[in-house]
Amino acid sequence: MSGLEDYEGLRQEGSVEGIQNEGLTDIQKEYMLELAVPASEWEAMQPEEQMAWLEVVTDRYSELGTDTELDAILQELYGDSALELYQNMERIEAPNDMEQIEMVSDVLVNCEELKYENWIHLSDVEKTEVLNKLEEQIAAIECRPPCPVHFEPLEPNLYGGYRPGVGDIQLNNFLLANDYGNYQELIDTLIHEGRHAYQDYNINVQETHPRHSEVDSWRDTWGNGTGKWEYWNDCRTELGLRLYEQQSIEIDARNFAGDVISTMNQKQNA
Amino acid sequence: MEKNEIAELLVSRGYSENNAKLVAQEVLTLHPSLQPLWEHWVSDPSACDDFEAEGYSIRYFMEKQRMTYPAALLTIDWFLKEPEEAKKAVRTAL
Repeated sequence: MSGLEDYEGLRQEGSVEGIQNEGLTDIQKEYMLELAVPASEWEAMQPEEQMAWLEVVTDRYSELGTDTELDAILQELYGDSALELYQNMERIEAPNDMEQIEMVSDVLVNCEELKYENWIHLSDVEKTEVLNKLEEQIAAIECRPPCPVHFEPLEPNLYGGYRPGVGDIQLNNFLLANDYGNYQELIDTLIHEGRHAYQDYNINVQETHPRHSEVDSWRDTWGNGTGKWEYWNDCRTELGLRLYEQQSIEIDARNFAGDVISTMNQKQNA
Repeated sequence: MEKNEIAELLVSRGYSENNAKLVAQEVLTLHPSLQPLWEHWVSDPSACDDFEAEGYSIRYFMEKQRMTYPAALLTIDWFLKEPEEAKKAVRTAL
């Protein structure tokens, strides 16, 4: 974010005056303009950063309690890109969970490389490529950016994890072994961790999940210093396994992955 | 011990307030076999008595999953009360 001085060179003469006439006072205008971002900086921002910026702007707008439409303020003070972002945000809603489960299970069923008889002949590199392609398709269904998927030597008791700060999905190396049990866990873990990415996106970037109350319950356990369970500090170490498993985000990810796998199995056996 | 006393003790031993409240609630319903171990730890924080259930031990969770003593105790409590659920969860995805 930049200050008012940075913005001064970018705005068009007269545009701010227009807003003032519709109801923003000078103080309100300056308050909003504190969030102005130079065009070059705006273009370099990641979509997630732009969404985070928009969230701050909309928060400030709410504080003002003005009758002036947010669309008008965005266009006049920050330009067309900001307005476009806002309008896109308004439109985006992810499919509901049942639709997502159907669509994700279709993606899995239709992936030839993922069939066990083909999977066991793939190299580790090829397996990673297949999983990354699947994650791209799943992310598109879930209306979130895809996460890079890679294998790592994790603790032996872990199948994998989603890292919110990094935005990637790690899978434990042992899941590469050609063993049917590992293969099933690998698919389950990919879906489970992708769901955590979806929760993260909804809590911290843009809410696209159709049920707001569920996002609120995820937020409650997410952490980032605000959630009561402090999940991302790895709360298992303080809470133990049972409380960890009872978190809303864990229950949701477990159920979602379980439903996808069982729907996939039904389709494969039909 | 009352729930608040337990929570205060946990905070004094490094827990955040939120986590202390959650753990305190669980400690109130600890399996009878584990209560003496909890009481021993209350009186002496260096006392980390071990206990085994379903092939897992307090020491295992402290050493392999870096759990605190109360967290490992609650995990073993789960193995005593709902062994099948606990076994399923022990290998897990974060």
